[in-house]
Amino acid sequence: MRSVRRARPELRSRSVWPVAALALAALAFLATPVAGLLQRAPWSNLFGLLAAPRALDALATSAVTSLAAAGLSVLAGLPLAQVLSRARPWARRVMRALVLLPMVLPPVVGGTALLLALGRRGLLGQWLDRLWGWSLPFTTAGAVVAATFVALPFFVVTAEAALRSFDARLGEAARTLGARPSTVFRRVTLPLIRPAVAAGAALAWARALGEFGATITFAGNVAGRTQTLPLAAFVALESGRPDEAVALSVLLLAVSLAVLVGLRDHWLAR
Amino acid sequence: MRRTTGAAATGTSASLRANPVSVDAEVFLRLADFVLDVRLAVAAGEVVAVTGPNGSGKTTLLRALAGLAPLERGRVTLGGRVVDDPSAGVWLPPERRGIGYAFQDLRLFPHLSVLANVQFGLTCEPQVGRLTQGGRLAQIGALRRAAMDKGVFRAAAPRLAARRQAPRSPAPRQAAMDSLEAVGMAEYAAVRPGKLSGGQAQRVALARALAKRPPLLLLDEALSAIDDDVRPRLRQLAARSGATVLMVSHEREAHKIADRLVAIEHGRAANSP
Repeated sequence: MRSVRRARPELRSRSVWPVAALALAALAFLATPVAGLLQRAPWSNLFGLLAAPRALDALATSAVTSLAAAGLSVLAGLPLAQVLSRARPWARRVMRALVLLPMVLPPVVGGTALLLALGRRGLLGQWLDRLWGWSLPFTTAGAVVAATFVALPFFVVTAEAALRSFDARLGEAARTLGARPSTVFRRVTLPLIRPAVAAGAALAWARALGEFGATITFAGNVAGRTQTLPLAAFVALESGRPDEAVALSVLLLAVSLAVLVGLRDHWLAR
Repeated sequence: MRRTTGAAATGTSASLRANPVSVDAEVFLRLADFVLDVRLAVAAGEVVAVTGPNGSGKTTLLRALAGLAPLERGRVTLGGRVVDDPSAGVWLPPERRGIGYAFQDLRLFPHLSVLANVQFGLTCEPQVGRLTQGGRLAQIGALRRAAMDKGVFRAAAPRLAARRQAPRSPAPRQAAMDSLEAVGMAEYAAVRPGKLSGGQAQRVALARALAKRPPLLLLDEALSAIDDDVRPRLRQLAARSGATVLMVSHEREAHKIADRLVAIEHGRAANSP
């Protein structure tokens, strides 16, 4: 107890040990699965496993759906973030609750909700089906919708924070120089928040790439169409092909690490 | 096919002078902490110094004229055209008022070079019904330029678009360089504002406000950080730009160069015309 008031070196020597031990245990808890994965990885045959038709299909499906979801998140998320950043406090609270919901919602619930809304008999889906003959479940487009549903909040939250810290005085200066609001956004706001937009897009992409629950619930698990890398890894594990599952997992791990490295200035340096 | 107009614009822009507008303003607006209630009439081409203690409402008056602080009551007329009249539901946004505004806090765009900052206003789309009378040709040039830029922006990758800081069209670029030369900052054209000293940045802000040859020039302590030996020359530059000038300044010299002083105290004009 007395040591609390002492200088730092003292503090470090005694009272911190239990905390340090617990922290170490927590870190180990986080790191061990990764170590286990890497230790079991079929390194010699990794590329062979990833180049197998099944894996390639999943890879292509994942690439298409995750990139499309990230793109849609940016397109839909920028206006939403802009409105959020300018809204009155009560409106902002309501909108932000809606935006954050997919982040805390179990993805399976999200997928079920999507099915009830956009499925062939869904709230909106029946009209899509009747008017244009569109049906989203079990299609790649459906997988994109599911991934966007879970990825969009990550982009909106990041972009909104940047927009709120944007210096509105610069916008005023641009207006006096003859710029319409849309021109201000394109030539002043957007360039200045570009790092956040990139970070938000990367986060949304990473989230979309790892998406499992909403995808399998809403879009199903159709090889070559909606079977993304996580689904393929799960199926491989279930069907007694652990090497394939591990190979796909290592690939996803590498991508996640790459995103983390890419975002190091944005997240790690805080 | 776009050459002819572009060339014509190049020839004209250098010799362009602003076509000054008269200002007739009856400003009433309330901010959180005070009320501004001022009448102001300025003839076209007149240079007026706005004086008064801190917090008296000088900046708010400029903001009201610029359209950055909408009126609660009253009316602002620029060059005979009503630009703000809440009772009639008229409000012209800042970008359509044909003003040049040098802010006390500069507000240079940190992501653009000095040249691109000054060029910014010259590469914005001309607005229908904007208050400028002169510079039609330059405006058409700017319009074409803006249209082409948009094409580039849509077609190319975002990174390419970001490099588009200094559009290559000669007319706006030349006009911006002229403006920078006039304030003695041409050699800093490629520098980012963050690398400038306070006085240098203020010169760039002045050049940016002047570049478009605005019919109405609003200067808010625009020369305060500039060295004493340069300031008189720049003050002349602003006063002789051909624009109607309203300058907020604490400096005596500024008051001498003005045709008239308008003193504001506690949000009211002390010696209105």
